[in-house]
Amino acid sequence: MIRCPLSLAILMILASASWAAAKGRPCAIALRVSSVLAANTNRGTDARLTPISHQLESVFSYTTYRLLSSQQGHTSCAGKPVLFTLPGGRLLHIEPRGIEGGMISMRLSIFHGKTLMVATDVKLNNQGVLMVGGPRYRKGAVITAIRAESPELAAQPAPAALAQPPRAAAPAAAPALTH
Amino acid sequence: MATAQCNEIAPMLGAYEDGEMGGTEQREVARHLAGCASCTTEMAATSALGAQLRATAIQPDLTGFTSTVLERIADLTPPLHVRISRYFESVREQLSTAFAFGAAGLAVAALTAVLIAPYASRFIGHGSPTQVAIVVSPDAAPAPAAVEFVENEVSPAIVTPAMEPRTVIASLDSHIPSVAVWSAPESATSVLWVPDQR
Repeated sequence: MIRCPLSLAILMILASASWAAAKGRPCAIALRVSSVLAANTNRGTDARLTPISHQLESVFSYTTYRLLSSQQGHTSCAGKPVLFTLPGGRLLHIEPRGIEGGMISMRLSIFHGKTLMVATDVKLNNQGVLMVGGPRYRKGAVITAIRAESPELAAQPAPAALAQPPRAAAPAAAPALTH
Repeated sequence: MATAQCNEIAPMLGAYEDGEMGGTEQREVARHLAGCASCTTEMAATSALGAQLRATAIQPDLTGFTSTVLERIADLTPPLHVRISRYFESVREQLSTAFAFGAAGLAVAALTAVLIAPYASRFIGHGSPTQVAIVVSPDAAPAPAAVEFVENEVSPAIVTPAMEPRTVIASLDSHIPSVAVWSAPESATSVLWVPDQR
Protein backbone atom coordinates (compact mmCIF):
# COMPACT_ATOMS: atom_id res chain seq x y z
CA MET A 1 0.00 0.00 0.00
CA ILE A 2 2.91 2.30 0.75
CA ARG A 3 4.85 1.38 -2.38
CA CYS A 4 2.48 3.11 -4.79
CA PRO A 5 2.50 6.52 -3.06
CA LEU A 6 6.25 6.18 -2.55
CA SER A 7 6.90 5.59 -6.23
CA LEU A 8 4.57 8.39 -7.18
CA ALA A 9 6.27 10.78 -4.80
CA ILE A 10 9.72 9.86 -6.11
CA LEU A 11 8.61 10.37 -9.68
CA MET A 12 7.11 13.73 -8.82
CA ILE A 13 10.26 14.84 -7.04
CA LEU A 14 12.47 13.76 -9.95
CA ALA A 15 10.22 15.50 -12.45
CA SER A 16 10.15 18.74 -10.51
CA ALA A 17 13.91 18.57 -9.94
CA SER A 18 14.63 18.09 -13.63
CA TRP A 19 12.24 20.88 -14.51
CA ALA A 20 13.85 23.19 -12.00
CA ALA A 21 17.30 22.29 -13.31
CA ALA A 22 16.24 23.01 -16.87
CA LYS A 23 14.58 26.21 -15.77
CA GLY A 24 17.64 27.43 -13.89
CA ARG A 25 20.15 26.48 -16.55
CA PRO A 26 22.15 29.51 -17.65
CA CYS A 27 21.70 30.51 -21.26
CA ALA A 28 23.94 32.52 -23.52
CA ILE A 29 22.90 35.62 -25.38
CA ALA A 30 24.78 36.99 -28.35
CA LEU A 31 24.23 40.66 -29.13
CA ARG A 32 25.10 42.40 -32.34
CA VAL A 33 24.83 46.16 -32.58
CA SER A 34 25.10 47.61 -36.06
CA SER A 35 25.23 51.34 -36.58
CA VAL A 36 23.94 52.51 -39.93
CA LEU A 37 24.11 55.90 -41.53
CA ALA A 38 20.88 56.53 -43.40
CA ALA A 39 20.53 59.40 -45.82
CA ASN A 40 18.79 60.45 -49.00
CA THR A 41 21.74 60.41 -51.33
CA ASN A 42 20.51 57.66 -53.67
CA ARG A 43 23.48 55.35 -53.11
CA GLY A 44 21.53 52.26 -52.20
CA THR A 45 22.08 49.83 -49.38
CA ASP A 46 25.45 48.65 -48.19
CA ALA A 47 25.92 44.97 -49.06
CA ARG A 48 26.95 44.25 -45.50
CA LEU A 49 23.48 45.26 -44.43
CA THR A 50 21.74 42.62 -46.49
CA PRO A 51 20.48 40.66 -43.45
CA ILE A 52 18.59 43.69 -42.19
CA SER A 53 18.02 45.62 -45.38
CA HIS A 54 14.39 44.59 -45.62
CA GLN A 55 13.72 45.75 -42.10
CA LEU A 56 15.50 49.03 -42.68
CA GLU A 57 13.60 49.74 -45.84
CA SER A 58 10.28 48.72 -44.34
CA VAL A 59 10.42 51.25 -41.54
CA PHE A 60 12.46 54.04 -43.14
CA SER A 61 12.33 55.67 -46.54
CA TYR A 62 15.91 56.73 -46.95
CA THR A 63 17.71 56.00 -50.20
CA THR A 64 21.12 55.25 -48.75
CA TYR A 65 22.08 52.90 -45.92
CA ARG A 66 25.74 52.54 -45.07
CA LEU A 67 27.20 50.46 -42.26
CA LEU A 68 29.25 52.56 -39.89
CA SER A 69 30.23 50.00 -37.29
CA SER A 70 29.28 46.56 -36.09
CA GLN A 71 29.94 45.39 -32.58
CA GLN A 72 29.31 42.10 -30.87
CA GLY A 73 28.80 41.28 -27.24
CA HIS A 74 28.23 38.04 -25.39
CA THR A 75 26.54 37.64 -22.07
CA SER A 76 24.14 35.30 -20.37
CA CYS A 77 20.51 35.46 -19.41
CA ALA A 78 20.25 37.74 -16.43
CA GLY A 79 24.00 38.10 -16.75
CA LYS A 80 26.35 41.03 -16.87
CA PRO A 81 25.30 44.08 -18.83
CA VAL A 82 27.08 44.90 -22.07
CA LEU A 83 28.06 48.41 -23.11
CA PHE A 84 28.28 49.53 -26.74
CA THR A 85 29.45 52.84 -28.10
CA LEU A 86 27.25 54.46 -30.72
CA PRO A 87 28.01 57.22 -33.17
CA GLY A 88 27.23 60.71 -31.95
CA GLY A 89 28.65 60.19 -28.49
CA ARG A 90 25.92 57.85 -27.35
CA LEU A 91 26.30 54.76 -25.20
CA LEU A 92 24.04 51.75 -25.38
CA HIS A 93 23.73 49.75 -22.18
CA ILE A 94 22.06 46.34 -22.56
CA GLU A 95 21.17 44.36 -19.49
CA PRO A 96 19.77 40.87 -20.18
CA ARG A 97 16.81 39.89 -18.04
CA GLY A 98 16.38 36.29 -19.17
CA ILE A 99 14.12 34.29 -21.43
CA GLU A 100 10.42 34.97 -21.03
CA GLY A 101 7.81 33.25 -23.13
CA GLY A 102 10.36 32.23 -25.74
CA MET A 103 11.59 35.81 -26.09
CA ILE A 104 14.81 37.42 -24.99
CA SER A 105 14.05 40.00 -22.36
CA MET A 106 16.47 42.84 -21.72
CA ARG A 107 16.63 46.40 -20.53
CA LEU A 108 18.10 48.97 -22.87
CA SER A 109 19.48 52.26 -21.64
CA ILE A 110 20.79 54.90 -23.99
CA PHE A 111 23.09 57.53 -22.59
CA HIS A 112 24.47 60.67 -24.09
CA GLY A 113 27.58 61.15 -22.06
CA LYS A 114 26.41 60.72 -18.51
CA THR A 115 22.83 61.67 -19.25
CA LEU A 116 20.27 58.93 -19.51
CA MET A 117 18.15 59.57 -22.58
CA VAL A 118 15.93 56.50 -22.71
CA ALA A 119 15.45 53.37 -20.63
CA THR A 120 13.17 50.68 -21.93
CA ASP A 121 12.30 47.06 -21.23
CA VAL A 122 12.24 45.09 -24.45
CA LYS A 123 11.53 41.52 -25.43
CA LEU A 124 12.82 40.24 -28.74
CA ASN A 125 12.27 36.99 -30.53
CA ASN A 126 15.36 34.94 -31.04
CA GLN A 127 17.37 36.65 -33.78
CA GLY A 128 14.96 39.54 -33.52
CA VAL A 129 16.02 43.09 -34.32
CA LEU A 130 15.08 46.38 -32.71
CA MET A 131 15.94 49.58 -34.52
CA VAL A 132 17.00 52.61 -32.56
CA GLY A 133 16.88 55.82 -34.54
CA GLY A 134 18.85 58.93 -33.89
CA PRO A 135 20.67 61.18 -33.73
CA ARG A 136 20.11 62.99 -36.98
CA TYR A 137 23.23 63.44 -39.04
CA ARG A 138 23.44 65.89 -41.92
CA LYS A 139 20.77 64.80 -44.44
CA GLY A 140 19.98 61.64 -42.63
CA ALA A 141 20.23 59.91 -39.32
CA VAL A 142 22.14 57.26 -37.50
CA ILE A 143 20.16 54.06 -37.08
CA THR A 144 21.27 51.35 -34.70
CA ALA A 145 20.08 47.79 -35.24
CA ILE A 146 20.16 45.68 -32.09
CA ARG A 147 20.01 41.96 -32.73
CA ALA A 148 19.75 39.37 -29.96
CA GLU A 149 20.21 35.65 -30.30
CA SER A 150 20.19 32.82 -27.82
CA PRO A 151 21.36 29.29 -28.74
CA GLU A 152 18.83 27.92 -26.27
CA LEU A 153 16.08 29.30 -28.46
CA ALA A 154 17.76 28.31 -31.71
CA ALA A 155 15.74 25.11 -31.91
CA GLN A 156 12.69 27.20 -32.51
CA PRO A 157 12.18 28.26 -36.13
CA ALA A 158 13.29 31.74 -36.95
CA PRO A 159 10.61 34.25 -37.81
CA ALA A 160 9.71 33.90 -41.46
CA ALA A 161 10.01 37.59 -42.13
CA LEU A 162 13.62 37.57 -40.98
CA ALA A 163 14.62 34.29 -42.55
CA GLN A 164 13.18 35.12 -45.96
CA PRO A 165 12.16 38.74 -46.08
CA PRO A 166 9.54 39.65 -48.63
CA ARG A 167 10.64 42.37 -50.95
CA ALA A 168 7.76 44.69 -50.44
CA ALA A 169 8.29 48.21 -51.59
CA ALA A 170 8.51 50.91 -49.01
CA PRO A 171 5.33 52.90 -48.67
CA ALA A 172 5.35 55.77 -51.08
CA ALA A 173 3.71 58.01 -48.58
CA ALA A 174 6.51 57.62 -46.10
CA PRO A 175 8.29 60.91 -45.84
CA ALA A 176 12.02 60.96 -46.02
CA LEU A 177 14.25 62.66 -43.54
CA THR A 178 15.57 65.75 -45.16
CA HIS A 179 17.05 67.54 -42.22
CA MET B 1 -44.33 -31.61 63.13
CA ALA B 2 -41.95 -32.12 60.26
CA THR B 3 -43.32 -33.83 57.19
CA ALA B 4 -41.82 -35.30 54.10
CA GLN B 5 -42.52 -32.03 52.35
CA CYS B 6 -40.56 -30.23 55.11
CA ASN B 7 -37.46 -32.20 54.06
CA GLU B 8 -37.81 -30.73 50.59
CA ILE B 9 -38.50 -27.21 51.83
CA ALA B 10 -35.71 -27.02 54.41
CA PRO B 11 -32.80 -26.80 51.95
CA MET B 12 -34.51 -23.91 50.23
CA LEU B 13 -35.06 -21.80 53.33
CA GLY B 14 -31.68 -20.10 53.10
CA ALA B 15 -32.27 -19.08 49.49
CA TYR B 16 -35.78 -17.98 50.39
CA GLU B 17 -34.41 -15.83 53.21
CA ASP B 18 -31.93 -14.22 50.85
CA GLY B 19 -34.60 -13.63 48.13
CA GLU B 20 -32.70 -15.70 45.62
CA MET B 21 -35.55 -17.96 44.55
CA GLY B 22 -37.67 -17.86 41.47
CA GLY B 23 -41.34 -16.94 41.52
CA THR B 24 -42.86 -20.44 41.52
CA GLU B 25 -40.51 -21.87 44.11
CA GLN B 26 -40.77 -18.78 46.23
CA ARG B 27 -44.55 -19.06 46.30
CA GLU B 28 -44.34 -22.79 47.11
CA VAL B 29 -42.02 -22.15 50.05
CA ALA B 30 -44.17 -19.28 51.29
CA ARG B 31 -47.32 -21.43 51.08
CA HIS B 32 -45.57 -24.17 53.02
CA LEU B 33 -44.27 -21.81 55.68
CA ALA B 34 -47.77 -20.46 56.22
CA GLY B 35 -48.97 -23.87 57.30
CA CYS B 36 -45.86 -25.38 58.89
CA ALA B 37 -44.74 -24.20 62.29
CA SER B 38 -41.64 -26.36 62.19
CA CYS B 39 -40.33 -24.82 59.04
CA THR B 40 -41.29 -21.36 60.27
CA THR B 41 -39.19 -21.97 63.33
CA GLU B 42 -36.37 -23.27 61.19
CA MET B 43 -36.71 -20.21 59.00
CA ALA B 44 -36.49 -17.90 61.99
CA ALA B 45 -33.40 -19.70 63.23
CA THR B 46 -31.80 -19.40 59.85
CA SER B 47 -32.59 -15.69 59.68
CA ALA B 48 -31.17 -15.14 63.16
CA LEU B 49 -27.98 -17.01 62.27
CA GLY B 50 -27.55 -14.94 59.12
CA ALA B 51 -28.03 -11.74 61.01
CA GLN B 52 -25.48 -12.79 63.59
CA LEU B 53 -22.94 -13.71 60.95
CA ARG B 54 -23.36 -10.40 59.15
CA ALA B 55 -23.01 -8.56 62.41
CA THR B 56 -19.77 -10.27 63.33
CA ALA B 57 -18.19 -10.18 59.85
CA ILE B 58 -15.59 -7.46 59.24
CA GLN B 59 -16.25 -5.47 56.09
CA PRO B 60 -12.92 -4.44 54.49
CA ASP B 61 -12.49 -0.83 53.43
CA LEU B 62 -12.50 -0.83 49.61
CA THR B 63 -11.85 2.88 49.21
CA GLY B 64 -9.21 3.37 46.48
CA PHE B 65 -9.01 -0.34 45.80
CA THR B 66 -9.60 -0.02 42.06
CA SER B 67 -7.11 2.77 41.51
CA THR B 68 -4.47 1.00 43.56
CA VAL B 69 -4.82 -2.13 41.48
CA LEU B 70 -4.57 -0.21 38.23
CA GLU B 71 -1.44 1.59 39.41
CA ARG B 72 0.25 -1.63 40.33
CA ILE B 73 -0.64 -3.08 36.95
CA ALA B 74 0.84 -0.08 35.23
CA ASP B 75 4.05 -0.41 37.23
CA LEU B 76 4.56 -3.93 36.06
CA THR B 77 7.30 -4.13 33.36
CA PRO B 78 6.14 -6.20 30.39
CA PRO B 79 8.51 -8.74 28.88
CA LEU B 80 11.18 -7.57 26.46
CA HIS B 81 9.60 -9.01 23.33
CA VAL B 82 6.33 -7.32 24.19
CA ARG B 83 8.09 -3.97 24.62
CA ILE B 84 9.96 -4.36 21.33
CA SER B 85 6.84 -5.25 19.42
CA ARG B 86 4.97 -2.34 20.99
CA TYR B 87 7.80 0.05 20.07
CA PHE B 88 7.86 -1.01 16.44
CA GLU B 89 4.11 -0.87 16.28
CA SER B 90 4.08 2.74 17.46
CA VAL B 91 6.93 3.69 15.10
CA ARG B 92 5.17 2.10 12.16
CA GLU B 93 1.98 3.95 12.90
CA GLN B 94 3.77 7.28 13.23
CA LEU B 95 5.84 6.74 10.08
CA SER B 96 2.82 5.70 8.08
CA THR B 97 0.96 8.84 9.04
CA ALA B 98 3.95 11.13 8.45
CA PHE B 99 4.85 9.47 5.18
CA ALA B 100 1.32 9.66 3.89
CA PHE B 101 1.10 13.37 4.60
CA GLY B 102 4.63 14.01 3.30
CA ALA B 103 4.08 12.11 0.08
CA ALA B 104 0.80 13.85 -0.51
CA GLY B 105 2.41 17.24 0.07
CA LEU B 106 5.32 16.50 -2.24
CA ALA B 107 3.01 15.22 -4.93
CA VAL B 108 0.89 18.33 -4.75
CA ALA B 109 3.96 20.59 -4.77
CA ALA B 110 5.51 18.78 -7.71
CA LEU B 111 2.29 18.84 -9.67
CA THR B 112 1.90 22.52 -8.96
CA ALA B 113 5.46 23.27 -10.03
CA VAL B 114 5.33 21.17 -13.18
CA LEU B 115 1.89 22.05 -14.39
CA ILE B 116 1.32 25.61 -13.26
CA ALA B 117 4.68 27.38 -13.06
CA PRO B 118 5.57 27.22 -16.78
CA TYR B 119 2.34 28.99 -17.60
CA ALA B 120 2.44 31.50 -14.76
CA SER B 121 4.56 33.93 -16.70
CA ARG B 122 1.84 34.13 -19.36
CA PHE B 123 -0.48 35.61 -16.80
CA ILE B 124 1.98 37.73 -14.86
CA GLY B 125 3.44 40.71 -16.56
CA HIS B 126 2.87 39.68 -20.15
CA GLY B 127 -0.73 40.47 -20.76
CA SER B 128 -2.17 40.40 -24.22
CA PRO B 129 -0.18 42.21 -26.84
CA THR B 130 -1.58 45.37 -28.28
CA GLN B 131 -1.86 45.21 -32.03
CA VAL B 132 -1.09 48.84 -32.72
CA ALA B 133 1.98 50.92 -33.18
CA ILE B 134 2.15 53.89 -30.89
CA VAL B 135 4.11 57.06 -31.25
CA VAL B 136 4.72 59.48 -28.45
CA SER B 137 4.99 63.10 -29.53
CA PRO B 138 5.54 62.25 -33.16
CA ASP B 139 6.50 65.68 -34.30
CA ALA B 140 10.22 64.95 -34.24
CA ALA B 141 10.12 61.45 -35.66
CA PRO B 142 10.36 60.49 -39.32
CA ALA B 143 6.87 59.27 -39.97
CA PRO B 144 6.65 55.99 -41.84
CA ALA B 145 3.56 54.81 -43.65
CA ALA B 146 2.15 52.46 -41.04
CA VAL B 147 2.18 54.72 -38.06
CA GLU B 148 -0.76 55.35 -35.84
CA PHE B 149 -0.40 58.40 -33.68
CA VAL B 150 -1.56 58.40 -30.13
CA GLU B 151 -0.78 61.55 -28.26
CA ASN B 152 -0.27 61.97 -24.55
CA GLU B 153 0.61 58.35 -24.01
CA VAL B 154 3.03 57.58 -21.23
CA SER B 155 5.04 54.37 -21.17
CA PRO B 156 2.82 52.52 -23.63
CA ALA B 157 3.03 48.79 -24.23
CA ILE B 158 3.85 48.28 -27.87
CA VAL B 159 3.79 45.10 -29.87
CA THR B 160 4.52 44.85 -33.49
CA PRO B 161 1.42 44.02 -35.51
CA ALA B 162 2.00 40.40 -36.35
CA MET B 163 0.34 37.19 -35.39
CA GLU B 164 3.47 36.27 -33.45
CA PRO B 165 4.97 39.18 -31.55
CA ARG B 166 8.49 39.94 -32.72
CA THR B 167 9.24 42.79 -30.37
CA VAL B 168 7.55 43.79 -27.17
CA ILE B 169 8.37 47.07 -25.52
CA ALA B 170 7.05 46.64 -22.04
CA SER B 171 8.04 50.02 -20.68
CA LEU B 172 9.67 53.19 -21.88
CA ASP B 173 11.02 55.95 -19.71
CA SER B 174 12.55 59.11 -21.04
CA HIS B 175 12.63 62.77 -20.19
CA ILE B 176 12.87 63.62 -23.89
CA PRO B 177 9.37 64.53 -25.06
CA SER B 178 9.93 63.57 -28.69
CA VAL B 179 10.90 59.96 -28.17
CA ALA B 180 8.85 57.84 -30.54
CA VAL B 181 8.12 54.21 -31.18
CA TRP B 182 6.59 52.62 -34.23
CA SER B 183 6.63 49.40 -36.16
CA ALA B 184 6.33 48.16 -39.70
CA PRO B 185 3.58 45.57 -40.19
CA GLU B 186 5.20 43.88 -43.17
CA SER B 187 8.50 43.17 -41.45
CA ALA B 188 7.32 43.25 -37.86
CA THR B 189 10.19 45.55 -37.07
CA SER B 190 9.95 48.06 -34.26
CA VAL B 191 11.77 51.34 -34.13
CA LEU B 192 12.65 53.36 -31.10
CA TRP B 193 13.39 56.87 -32.24
CA VAL B 194 15.56 58.86 -29.85
CA PRO B 195 16.19 62.30 -31.31
CA ASP B 196 18.78 64.73 -30.16
CA GLN B 197 18.26 66.62 -26.98
CA ARG B 198 17.34 70.22 -27.56
